[in-house]
This record gives sequence, structure tokens and C-alpha cells, in this order.
Amino acid sequence: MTVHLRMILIILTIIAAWIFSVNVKHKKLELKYTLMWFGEFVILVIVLIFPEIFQYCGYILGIRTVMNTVYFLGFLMLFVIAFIATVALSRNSVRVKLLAQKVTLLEKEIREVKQGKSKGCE
Amino acid sequence: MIKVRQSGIMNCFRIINITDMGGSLRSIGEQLKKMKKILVIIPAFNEENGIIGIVKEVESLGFDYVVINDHSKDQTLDILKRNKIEYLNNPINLGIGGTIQTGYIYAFEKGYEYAVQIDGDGQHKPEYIVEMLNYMKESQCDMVIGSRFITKEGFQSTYLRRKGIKYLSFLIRILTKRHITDPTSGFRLVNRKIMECFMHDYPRDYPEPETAVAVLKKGYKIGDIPVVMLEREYGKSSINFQRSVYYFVKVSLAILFAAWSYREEE
Repeated sequence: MTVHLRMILIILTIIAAWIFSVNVKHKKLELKYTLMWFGEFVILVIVLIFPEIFQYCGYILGIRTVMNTVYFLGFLMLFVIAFIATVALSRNSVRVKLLAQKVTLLEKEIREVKQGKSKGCE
Repeated sequence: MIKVRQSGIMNCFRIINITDMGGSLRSIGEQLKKMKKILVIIPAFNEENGIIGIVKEVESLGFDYVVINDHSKDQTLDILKRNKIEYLNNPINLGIGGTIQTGYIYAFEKGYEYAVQIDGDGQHKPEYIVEMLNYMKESQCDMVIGSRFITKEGFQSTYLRRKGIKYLSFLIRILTKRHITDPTSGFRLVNRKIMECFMHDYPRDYPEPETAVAVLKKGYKIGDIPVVMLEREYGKSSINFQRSVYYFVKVSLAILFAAWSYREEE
């Protein structure tokens, strides 16, 4: 892996980390969900500075060049992040539905209390 | 037995044995009590034109009902308020699944013994509800589906949809060994046990076939009776051509997952 390419990738990673940081600062992103991205950036930068760490890793996986190992690991980490995000999205979608349903039922109850009636089948 | 058709609240007792007037009066009284134990759930999304008609029809039959406005963009909510119709109002759009589930939660919490869901677009005739209830009691079912395809009368849907429904029926038969003639029908009567199941778990979109499988796999019994459905009077179908591919894939997968998730109880 050439120094030139490594420098470009390190700069790109730092820019990405900076974009995330700014968004966290402005409360557009929650730190909780951003931590895994920062973890990925740190690992990427370490690999790019010391590529020999992953030479052995690539050898085991049958990958010839360090660059491909970096891409492969990057893909794996993105997969994990996407999975966690999908889990969080699904969970939140269920929670939003539950909350909305509670609001719907409470709103009717409040309306009935205001009108001085509460109807059931009894 | 002589068939007596009367208007208003008497409509629901379409078959009265007039040789035993005292008995039939008693049974009417009992039926009235029973009817109070049924809640008709009417989901409404942009149904400003048709909602009043269906509500009046349900009211005239003497059933308790609740219309659930799923954050309609048209005047549905105003109409519900103005006409003093019993309604629930979703603060955000929850889709048909979330809306119907709200209805089941409401019915369960209010202590209703049975809940029946009918579409807000005039496709389903509420007069079948009593027949559905009688069938539920006779056959000891937990859920009764109003099916278009038993006597094949009334609006039979388009050719492609009929094929799609046949395919879903086939898939359900393979997975549950039971035949459901109209798995996509949204005209369903359920008892409290099923209400409780639906309170905890109900899919968000296109829920009908999936819930049928879940109910069967949990060991409950589903029956169906023939009903005549009308072509929707107002509004448009939620399933257009673009969505049909999504529908096909989603519902097929959902049925498989439902069959996998719930082990059949002996």
C-alpha cells in the first residue's frame, strides 16, 4: 500500500470523524449511536498508519494485499454498524407505535372525562 | 322458521321463530345484551365520503362501535367530531395494522367480549356480524372471517388479485394444513383470547394473511362464512400496481416467519 494512498485515506477518515463530531456537537446525532463510528475511524487510522498489523490477518483470510484487507475489514465494520442501526430503527418504530396508540386511547379518555362520560360494555 | 326482515335495531335478528314469541322476545333481550359485548372497529384513512354511511348502518343495527381515524389528510376527523361519532384519533399515521391494533386494545380494555373489524370504505356489510357471531358460537371458533369466495357472490376483486389470494391460501394451507378461503379479508370477528394476542403482536402493514397464520399456529380455530362484499364505494385501494410487488414479497415472507415463530399448541 503506497504512502500516497494511505495519506488520502487517513485524511478522508479524519474528515468523516470531524463531520460526525460537528453533528454530535449540534445534537443532530446522538453520541450513543456515533460511538461505533468513532471506533471504526480509530481502527481504520491505526491500520493505515501501521499496515503491517493486518498483513498477518490478510494472510489468514487469503487476501494478498493489505489494501484489500482494509477494505474487507471496513465492509465488515459497516455491516455491523448497519445491523445495529437496523435493530435500533425497528425497536424505535415499535416504541413510536406503542406511544402513539397510548396517546390515541388517552385522548379519547380525556375527551370522555371532559364530557362527563366514560363508556364501556359494562 | 320464517325469515322476518325488520328495520333498525331489529335487523340483526333476521331469523326469528315466530311460533314461540315469548321465547323469541327473551332471545331478543339476550341478543341485545350480547350485542353490547361486541365492538365494531372501523378504521378510517381519508374516508370523508363514506364514513358516515357505514357508521349509520352500524348504529342502526345497535352495535357499539369505534371509528379510528388514522391521521387522515382530508375532512374525516371534522366529520367525526361534527356528527358526534365515537372515534379514536391517531396522532400520527400508523397504517392499517397499527390502527386495527389500537382498536383491539381499546376493545379489550373496555371489556368487550368480541370485536369485529370492518372496512371504513363500504365494502363490508355490517348485517353479517350477527351471522358471524352465531357461527363463532356454533363452531367454537376463535376467529370468523367473512369470505367472498365461498359462494362467490358479490364483488370478487380483479383477476390478478384473485390469483394472489389463491396463492396466499395455498401457502397458508401448506404451512398450517388448514384452508382459509379468503385470507386477505379485513372483515373479521374475534373473541377475547384473540384480542389479547393481537394487543401484544400485530403487524404494521397488510396484516390479514399473516395474523391468520399466527392465530392458527397458536392453536386457535378460524372459521369462515360466506359474505357478499361490495366494490369499494369511496376512496381507493391501498394496494396499487407499484405496491403489489412489495405486497407479494412482504406478505409471503411474513407468512413464513409467522409459521416459524409460533409453534402449534396441541
